[in-house]
Amino acid sequence: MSNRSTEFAGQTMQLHPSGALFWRGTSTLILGDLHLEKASSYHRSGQFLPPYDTAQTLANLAAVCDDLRPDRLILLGDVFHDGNAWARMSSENRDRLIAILDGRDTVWVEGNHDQSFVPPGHTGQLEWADHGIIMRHIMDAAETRPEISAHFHPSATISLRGTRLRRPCFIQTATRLLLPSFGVLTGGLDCRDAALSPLHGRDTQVFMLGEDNVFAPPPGLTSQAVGGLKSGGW
Amino acid sequence: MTRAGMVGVTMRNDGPAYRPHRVDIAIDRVYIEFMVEPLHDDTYRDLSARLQSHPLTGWLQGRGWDWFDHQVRTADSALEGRDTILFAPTGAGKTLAGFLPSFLDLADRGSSGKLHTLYISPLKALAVDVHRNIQTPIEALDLPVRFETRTGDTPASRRQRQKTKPPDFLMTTPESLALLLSYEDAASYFSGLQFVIIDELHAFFDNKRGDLLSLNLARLATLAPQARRIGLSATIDRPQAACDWLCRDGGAIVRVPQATAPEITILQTDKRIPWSGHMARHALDEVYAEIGRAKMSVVFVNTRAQAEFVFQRLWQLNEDNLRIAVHHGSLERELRRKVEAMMAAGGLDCVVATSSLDLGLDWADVDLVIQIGAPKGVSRLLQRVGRANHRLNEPSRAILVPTNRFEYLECVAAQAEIAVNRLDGAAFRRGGFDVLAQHVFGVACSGPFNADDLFAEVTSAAAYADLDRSQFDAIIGFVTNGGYALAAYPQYNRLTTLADGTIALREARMARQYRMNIGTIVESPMLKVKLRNRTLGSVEENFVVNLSPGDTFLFGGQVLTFEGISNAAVMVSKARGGEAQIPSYGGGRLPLSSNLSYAVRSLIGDGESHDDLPGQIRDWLSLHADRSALPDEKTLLVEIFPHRKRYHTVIYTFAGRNANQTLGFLLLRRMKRAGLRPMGFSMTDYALAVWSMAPPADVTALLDPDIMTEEFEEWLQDTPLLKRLFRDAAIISGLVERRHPGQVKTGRQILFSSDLIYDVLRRHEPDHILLQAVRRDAMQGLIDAGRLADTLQELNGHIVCRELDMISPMAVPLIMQISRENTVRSEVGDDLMADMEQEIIRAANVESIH
Repeated sequence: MSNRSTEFAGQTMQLHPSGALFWRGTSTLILGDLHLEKASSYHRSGQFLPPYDTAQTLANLAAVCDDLRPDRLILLGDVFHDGNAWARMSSENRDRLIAILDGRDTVWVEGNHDQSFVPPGHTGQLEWADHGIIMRHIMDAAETRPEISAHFHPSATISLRGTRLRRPCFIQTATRLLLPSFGVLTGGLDCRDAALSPLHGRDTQVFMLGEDNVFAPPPGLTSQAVGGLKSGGW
Repeated sequence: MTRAGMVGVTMRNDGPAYRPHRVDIAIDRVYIEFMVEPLHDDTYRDLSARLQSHPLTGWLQGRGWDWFDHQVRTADSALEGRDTILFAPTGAGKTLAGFLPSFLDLADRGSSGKLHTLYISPLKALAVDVHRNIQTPIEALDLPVRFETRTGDTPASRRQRQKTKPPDFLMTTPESLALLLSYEDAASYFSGLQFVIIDELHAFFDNKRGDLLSLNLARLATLAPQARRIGLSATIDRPQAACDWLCRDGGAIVRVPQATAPEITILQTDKRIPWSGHMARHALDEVYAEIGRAKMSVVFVNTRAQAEFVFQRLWQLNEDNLRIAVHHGSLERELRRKVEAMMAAGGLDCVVATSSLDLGLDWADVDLVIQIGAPKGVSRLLQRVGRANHRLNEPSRAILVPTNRFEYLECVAAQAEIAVNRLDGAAFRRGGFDVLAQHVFGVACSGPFNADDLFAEVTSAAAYADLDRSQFDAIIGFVTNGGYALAAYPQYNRLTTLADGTIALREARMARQYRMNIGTIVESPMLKVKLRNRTLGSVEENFVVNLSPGDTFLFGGQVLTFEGISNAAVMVSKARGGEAQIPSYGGGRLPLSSNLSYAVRSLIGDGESHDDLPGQIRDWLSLHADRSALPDEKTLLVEIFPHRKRYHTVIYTFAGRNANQTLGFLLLRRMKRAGLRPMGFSMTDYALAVWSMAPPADVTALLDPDIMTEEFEEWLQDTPLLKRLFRDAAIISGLVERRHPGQVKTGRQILFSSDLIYDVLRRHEPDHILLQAVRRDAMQGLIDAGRLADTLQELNGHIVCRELDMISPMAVPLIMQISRENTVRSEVGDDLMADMEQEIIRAANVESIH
């Protein structure tokens, strides 16, 4: 597994190819946008997406936890795709989630999709601060403190020798760190999108998720380019 | 048995019924082959009387024309109650032949107030064109026939009227027919139907629109069993297979051989024909000169990128101010219609076109067809050539313009094949499960159905004859609720079983979802190209991603500067001259037909025939023979040579690009396993090049046909090609909703991607019917497994391997070609990103980046 790390707000953060962030100093795993029961939420509208996303996302999460053994989870919102997701989940999947949470401190930051739902016995937070780092679901453009957020499902595209690859990515600036989505059925927003303009700058670093590694194109991100080079220029 | 006097047409019955090659046929001497028993004289006499008394006969005669015998034959057969196909070249009056039974029948019975004749065309534009054509006699004679056109463009008010007060004749497309069949009153709407005319029938055999049509026809056979089918087709090599596809028992075939062989020449040039490339830059001066000599010409190209390039170059050469236009599928519909109208009115000297003009619009005044690039297939070339001159007894004139030396050989081979009238094997596909799912949903929209009856109906369609009941049931399960092994939420089911055992839509309002999704054509995401407020057309999203502001590209014959993206549109300005980056439109590439590839191999292998080739082609072949060896139809040439620190293994399969691509993927696996560190591959129709860090030691083992079992099964499990097919299947089958053109994404991010759905499904339910659907599709087209297996089997034991010091002449196009298909995203994905980092590290001269 990748040992790609980055320094953020004076802390060493390990970037995991699953899209989770591991803060080894505090044994904390930070991740967001699991969107559990996303597929089944579409069944109502007659789009019968395969109902296996929840089991798969949870299996991925269990694997990361087995790998990194965090003492604490910080869930950065949209763990559930909607407010009824928990009710739709199969008992097996609920048990899977409960088993993952078992024995770990869990911080639930509320998202926009989950409609403030947290499983019984847990409480949600609007935001969470730790070691001077503020964590919330959607970044606040006015924020000046170091901030870790999720919500946008960022992805980046590179081209090299005629092949284009689009992958989920972390985006880091001096004061912000944006996480990719952790769910298996979540689409991506191009990192150059105007919605992410607070993250566009000369020193912006994108970290793209590979199968077993995390990759870093050269720094620099504007609305037209990844990593200082226009995509396609490779 | 003389039928003279009938309409002044004589029928020759004493000679051979049909001579296949180069028969000279005068207008009144048409040879016809009947696959069924001969006609009864009485019937024919009866028809003769009916024809004579019909005003159309007088109208024709008044113009100095008369009925062709094949028109009468077709009408007679259909009026006798047979499903009938007329195979005839362009200009043989096929459309009128198709409508003749309807005119006669309607004259006898009078209008019933119900739909009498359905005319189905693969192109909206053709439906409109035919509407115009039959309008002429109907209006001239003031016949009491009501005829209308219905396509996706028809305004809602007229559609409503067509529903409540059906015309006698309705011109439509398979999609609009599917829509009509999905209404609850479909049975009554079609109850008076007498004839179904399918124009350009040959265009339906090998694609999903054909699947849709065959299912619609099966439905019509249930609702209106009396309605006879009349297929109008270009000449193909397997008429009986076409008959099996279209006709029910007792179907008949009427054939009109090519009246005169077309005059096909290959452009001769003093310039150097390149070894590789596809733009015909070297030949465009001469092409321009030919255009100037012709009255009106069509320049056919194979890709939209070629269309753009050729059109722009011709404009630069256009000192005589010829009226030249361009026509391809990415251009705004209005622009295309304008070009078509100008052609029809004789307002143009030349049109540069892609396959968007392949099908039979009636441009009577085209006297020259120029084909730029290799024809890829004999039948397709003949159809394109047939655009020139629509008169049956005059030869069509065409000039082939090879863009590189390999293509020169292909043109020579095609010319020879046409001379002996050997057509490509028409491909008939097995129907897609995704299309069937769409159809089953549509049937449910029209009312409750019995599963046994529907199964019988569906399997009566030739494309679905091989469907087994378990697959059919899986498709019903899919339409009901996705058909997953995991229990779903029954309250959301689309279909429900009623007390009497029939299956029905759970709620009538669900029909809306079906009606928004009819059709089998899935466009890759397109963005509109806008010059200020004017929309010029659209380009693929993937192309735009590679642009930066200031980049220039050719579009609609203009050089445009990319300014940026605004409101989901590509904003451009006019660039001032200069070279432009050319749009790399996807698709549009057909693999070389097996027939033609065999002919090319034979030509290369037949040294004597080389004497007839131009000097530079001959030199190229002999240079290749000196450096390596010439591939031929009996051997499989393999070359291994070092080039840029890699070993290149070039395999001359001549199996077409799809089969070569598959072989490339399989070899990557096999070579990886052998420790050769393969890095990638590129392919053309003729050959495949794989590059690796180490050279293969045993080529025979490498190409052993067992690669089609071991590596193939593994590869099929996770090939990204299936993912690409799944994107279409997910939409066609109704798994996900279709995004309509111009519909702006509402969310901040894409809601979900079909790639992710594919991954989840493959992992958790690998035998799901929709995954079966894409495998079934892939095997016959994109993967071309059958053709690859045949090639490897046939050439097994006949491998000629040459180890060279350097690249060989014939390998140049492969090495030059850096195309998007030559790499393997999922398989080299991480390697690619690692490579990218390494390249940056080298460029930046830094040790590492963390």
